Amino acid sequence: MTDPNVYGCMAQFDSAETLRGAALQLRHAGYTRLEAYSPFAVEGLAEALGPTRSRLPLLVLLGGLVGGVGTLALQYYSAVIDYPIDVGGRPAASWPAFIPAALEMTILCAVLAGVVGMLLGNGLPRLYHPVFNVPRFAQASRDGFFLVIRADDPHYDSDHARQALIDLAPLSVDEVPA
Amino acid sequence: MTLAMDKRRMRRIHVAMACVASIALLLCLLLGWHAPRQALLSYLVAGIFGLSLSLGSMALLMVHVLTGGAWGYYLRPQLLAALRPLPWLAVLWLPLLLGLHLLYPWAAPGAMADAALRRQAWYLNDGFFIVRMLLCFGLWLWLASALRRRLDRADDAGLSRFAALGLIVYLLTMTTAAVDWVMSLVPAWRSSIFGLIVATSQVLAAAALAVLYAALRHRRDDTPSHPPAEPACLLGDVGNLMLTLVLAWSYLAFMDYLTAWIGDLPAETVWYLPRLKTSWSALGVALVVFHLAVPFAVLLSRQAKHRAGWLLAVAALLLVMHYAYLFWLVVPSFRPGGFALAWSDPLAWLGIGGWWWVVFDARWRAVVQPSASAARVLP
Amino acid sequence: MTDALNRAPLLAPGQSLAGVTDHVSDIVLTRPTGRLWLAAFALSLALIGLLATGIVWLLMRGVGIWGLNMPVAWAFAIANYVWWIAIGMAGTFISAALYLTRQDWRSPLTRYAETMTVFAVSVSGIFPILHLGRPWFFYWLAPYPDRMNVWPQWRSSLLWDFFAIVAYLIVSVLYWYVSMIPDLATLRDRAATRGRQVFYGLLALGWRGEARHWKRFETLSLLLAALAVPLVFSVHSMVALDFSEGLLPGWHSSIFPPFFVAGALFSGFAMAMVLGLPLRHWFKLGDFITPRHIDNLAKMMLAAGLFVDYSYLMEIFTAFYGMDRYDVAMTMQRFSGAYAWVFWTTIVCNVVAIQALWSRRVRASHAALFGISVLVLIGMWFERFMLIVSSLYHDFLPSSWGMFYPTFWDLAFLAGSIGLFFLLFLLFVRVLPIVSMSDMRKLVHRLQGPRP
Repeated sequence: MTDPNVYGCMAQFDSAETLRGAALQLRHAGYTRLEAYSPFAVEGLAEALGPTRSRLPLLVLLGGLVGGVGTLALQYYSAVIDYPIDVGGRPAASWPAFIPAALEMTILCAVLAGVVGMLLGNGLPRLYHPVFNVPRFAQASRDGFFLVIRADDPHYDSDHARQALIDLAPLSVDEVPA
Repeated sequence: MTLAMDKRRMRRIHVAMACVASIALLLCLLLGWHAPRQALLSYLVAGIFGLSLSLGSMALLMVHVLTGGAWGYYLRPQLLAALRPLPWLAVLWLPLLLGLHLLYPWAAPGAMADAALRRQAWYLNDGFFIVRMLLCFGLWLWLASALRRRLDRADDAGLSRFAALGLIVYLLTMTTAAVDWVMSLVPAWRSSIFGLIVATSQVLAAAALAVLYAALRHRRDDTPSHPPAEPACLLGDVGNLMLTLVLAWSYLAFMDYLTAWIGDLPAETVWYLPRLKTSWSALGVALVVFHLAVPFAVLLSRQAKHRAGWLLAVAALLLVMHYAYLFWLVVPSFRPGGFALAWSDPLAWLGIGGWWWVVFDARWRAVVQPSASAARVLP
Repeated sequence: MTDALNRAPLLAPGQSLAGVTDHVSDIVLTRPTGRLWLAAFALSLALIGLLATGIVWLLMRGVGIWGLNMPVAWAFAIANYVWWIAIGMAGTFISAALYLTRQDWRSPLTRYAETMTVFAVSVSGIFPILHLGRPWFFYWLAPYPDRMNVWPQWRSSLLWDFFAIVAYLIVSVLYWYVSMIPDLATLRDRAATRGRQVFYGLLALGWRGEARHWKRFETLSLLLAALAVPLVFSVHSMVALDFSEGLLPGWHSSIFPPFFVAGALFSGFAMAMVLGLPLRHWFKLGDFITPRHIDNLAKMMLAAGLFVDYSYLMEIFTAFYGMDRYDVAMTMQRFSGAYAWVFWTTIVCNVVAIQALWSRRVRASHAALFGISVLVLIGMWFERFMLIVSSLYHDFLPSSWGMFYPTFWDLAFLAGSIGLFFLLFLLFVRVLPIVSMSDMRKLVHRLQGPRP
């Protein structure tokens, strides 16, 4: 049914609002594998494409906890268990003095977890992607708003998809080769 | 429930509270014959508690003039009402002047026999102390009334400059007051960060009170006939304000502690030792848990911040803990044996806090209620 | 704020999504290299030559080539370190704190401010490492399992500082880079030559602006901002604890951490002004960086400066309140000792000069702002020098007092570090977008509202 040489069908719109409206209409029409591209973060666009759930905050929290608790554990192990040494009469487990390094590592690990999580979640780095095959798509990072119906959508049919996009009054419609 | 009935009921509650507060203050006075020093201590803690809420509100109003933001208009009725008890507090401060020589070691008879106190006497002496106290109260009363007047005006070109200068005056006077009334209780102790910590904790307490009232109102209005007055994001904003202040206070307090701990110098440990080496340390732990950890954990959550119920609980907790914090700052040095409460502690709190609440709440209702629907529209 | 200026537009009228994108990307892609740029580049290169020579000479001869000796064992290098890392703080703060408080005027300022952070922190790192004496063993500071069974000294603020610098360097680079990915994609799509396409294409990691990607990106931006603000405070507090953990009069003071943070923001705002005003002029960014931005930056500089002044006051007051003889003696030394001129220079720059910022006329004059900002940068360097040296040269015992005199190499390292910072910044303005285009597009969209 679907042509393995086709990634999907792409339409360009003239503004963020029309793009969001178009995405909502296609979703109501039953399409589930939709992608929308915009030159800046458009509020509500991701939600218009389908349910979203972000696990990024949880990941960042876990990263921070691992960094903080890990550093405290390392300090306790090295200063109390492995090599206790009296420095100026301070207790081996100098908790107040352990906090600063643990705090820095909490933030560092939380940030690392967040950045890695964002990139992996977005499937980046991925230097090649079929949408780049459409010359017009270079506008997506300037002032172009694009909507793609992917060919692996259960409803996808080359002609129907094209017609559905044309019905939304886009600026242009292109087929995206895989 | 009609508005008029509500008003009458509230007036009865105010009168009852005022009676209870007055009785508490009288009992405090009676206890003062018996154990004047402990009664004065309790009275000092309670007085600073009331002052915190008023002055913190004043600072927060001025901060908002400079930064702008919807949160400030949301909290403004509470913050403005909290300025009202300030003149009463000035009157309530007088008994402390009478008890100066009982409370402060440097004012005690025979203090000049101590060489260290003699060196500090250029600053810590009765006359200069009273002058500074009068100056602080005078500036606060003037700032509060000028600020109220200027905020009432629709368009005041010099408002932001006034607020900037007002914040400077606030920080300087509050530092003076913190050093005079709290730090000089232990003359051998000094900490250059102390004024800043006290000022931050005041702003936090004032924010907590304002949020508490906002959340109460939000919940009361949240009935089918009254849709929620404010969008949830506004609740989130004031939640973030409290979170920021909780972190700021914790940061400053921890830096003071860490500096003292690592330096181990007598000028700093003299204050911390009675607090950490006796059963008072339980109060310290309670502060870390309930003034930092619990509010931090709750306010970190987006869901909790957007619910009036959670905000209400956190704000109430922070208010209670502010009193505990002032208790921690003042009392342990004078009850070095360990954790101990005096009868005068709750009585003074009830007396000053009760009067403060009556003046504040009456004013707040007068502002908010006649235009219950109009007040919802943000300027 | 009720000033008329604050109702002024955030953006000059007539901007479009394509317009802001083209304006910013053309600076990198099509604008020819100017003669002024080349001259500045050559000057910076010459200063770096000095720095490189100094580093080689230092590795051969040791830190003795600086004017350090007992009792003044810390001087220029540490002052330089604190000065540079402090300048970095403001970049993160401008970007993150204003993001969290939803101040949408921040958009045009963030990129170059974050860049300033990355470069300033990188430059600052040179000094503590070279100061170690045997810099090639600097990794001994890190806790790692080794055959010598050596663990770091966890109770030392110098170690906390090491953790702080490492964390801050990595976080500020990531924060800067991640926020730049969509802009790198724009440059990739607009680059005309193959070499540039590959260069920006690799850096952009294949960013294509998909809606769900943007959502994760926005979530991450918020989280990073929320983490970056406490990081700024903690990192510069660690720098302050390097001093206040010591017991010297003038160093051991509990207000040092917030005082240093305010000082860091103060000097950083000044540097943001010193960099921003010429950028705005040369690259015709007046449509984006409007007089309102400059005015706000000046107000923030004044606020940070006033807090620094409060800290000076509290330090002096606390010395005379406690009447500890060493504290009092140290304070009097600052007022009238051998380095009194350093103290009074600090006061003139950081206390007196900034009061001019109360005036709206001064805040509207960009020449005056530039001058005051340079004074603040000088004043903040002198402040660090004063804090470090005035406590060391007269400590407890008169028998161990001694002066510090800088050598040629002290000055060479300071000049060289300035050269390195400006060289990196000059490269940045030629290679990377100096204004965040994706943020600006969002701002244009929001200000213009939904199109019919």
